[in-house]
Amino acid sequence: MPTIVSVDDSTVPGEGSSRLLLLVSSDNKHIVVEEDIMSRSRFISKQVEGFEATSQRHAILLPFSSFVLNKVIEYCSHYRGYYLLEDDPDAAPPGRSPVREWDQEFLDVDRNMLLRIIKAAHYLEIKSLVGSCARAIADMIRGKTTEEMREILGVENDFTPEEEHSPSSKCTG
Amino acid sequence: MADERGAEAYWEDAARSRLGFLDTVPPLTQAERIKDVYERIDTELAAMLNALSLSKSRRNAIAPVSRLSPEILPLIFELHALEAPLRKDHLGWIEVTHVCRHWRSIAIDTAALWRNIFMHLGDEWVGTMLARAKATPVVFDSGWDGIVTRPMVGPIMEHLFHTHEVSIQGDGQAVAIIHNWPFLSPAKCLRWLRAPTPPNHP
Repeated sequence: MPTIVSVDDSTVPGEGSSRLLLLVSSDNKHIVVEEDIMSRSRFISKQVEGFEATSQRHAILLPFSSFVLNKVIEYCSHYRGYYLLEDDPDAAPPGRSPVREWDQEFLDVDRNMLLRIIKAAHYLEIKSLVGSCARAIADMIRGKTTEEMREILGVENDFTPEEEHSPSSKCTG
Repeated sequence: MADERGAEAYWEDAARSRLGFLDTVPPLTQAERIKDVYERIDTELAAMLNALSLSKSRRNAIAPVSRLSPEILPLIFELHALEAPLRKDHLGWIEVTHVCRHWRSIAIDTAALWRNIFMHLGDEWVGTMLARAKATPVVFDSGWDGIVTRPMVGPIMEHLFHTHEVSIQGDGQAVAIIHNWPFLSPAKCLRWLRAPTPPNHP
């Protein structure tokens, strides 16, 4: 559960059709964004429903940096008003379809940034963005050797020689 | 209290202390005692390698990819599996199980990853994949040039209750085998059976 702080009306303006939300990143940057843009996030939608039930406005504190949050907002702004099948709560897990062209450019970032975005997207429950990031990571390791995969994702071979040479490891994956 | 020695000095001291028994090496004429010394040192080396693996696992645990939510890595592996299927000469996506212990454990526990049973990898593989797939609907594939034999049909029949697809190539002998097999369970979720016509089929 995120920590929620009260916000007065002057901080979060807007009573009309396009209400504004105040999102606070882990580096304490306050970012005002239209509720409509963030409606792709099931997490944010649930928070907003909660505000309506209590008739109180709140800022939503998020556990990731403003840099990552701005990237997620950029994604949500781009697809504002679009129906993306993957965001349907009943949609099947992402399949073989390639990463959308715009998403490919959007996700052309370094490995750590990509991992931060997927983590944030998962927290915010934006299934389409999680799927695109996961596909991008799967593409990074496609056709690579075990050693190359380790290097790409920054992990070490931690098997003992015994584990590495055991029949159950090599003969059956 | 933390040890104030540097890492190098600490581990050197530890190795010296553990290998102190080597200070008095038995003469070469005492073959049995020499053998014992080798066994002891091999035991120490194996333990050091285990400690090294453990340290590497701890290092891996702080890598950004290891800190993803538990649902994400399986999703990445599943997408990777779609693009890197198993082949006769290549393990395809299964290579992810050789990257590190964490990936291996996640992949082994993700039943959906094991649903495509490539029959020509052999009995051991087929058995392992079926065990790891648990009750997930499975797809049996003999490969485009695979000749299916009677022993290969056995697992299909035993796992018919969660078989989603069967795709068999060859000379039709396998289909004849399937025709004559004593069915152990109904094919509740079988959607496709792709196979050549059995020999002498009207």
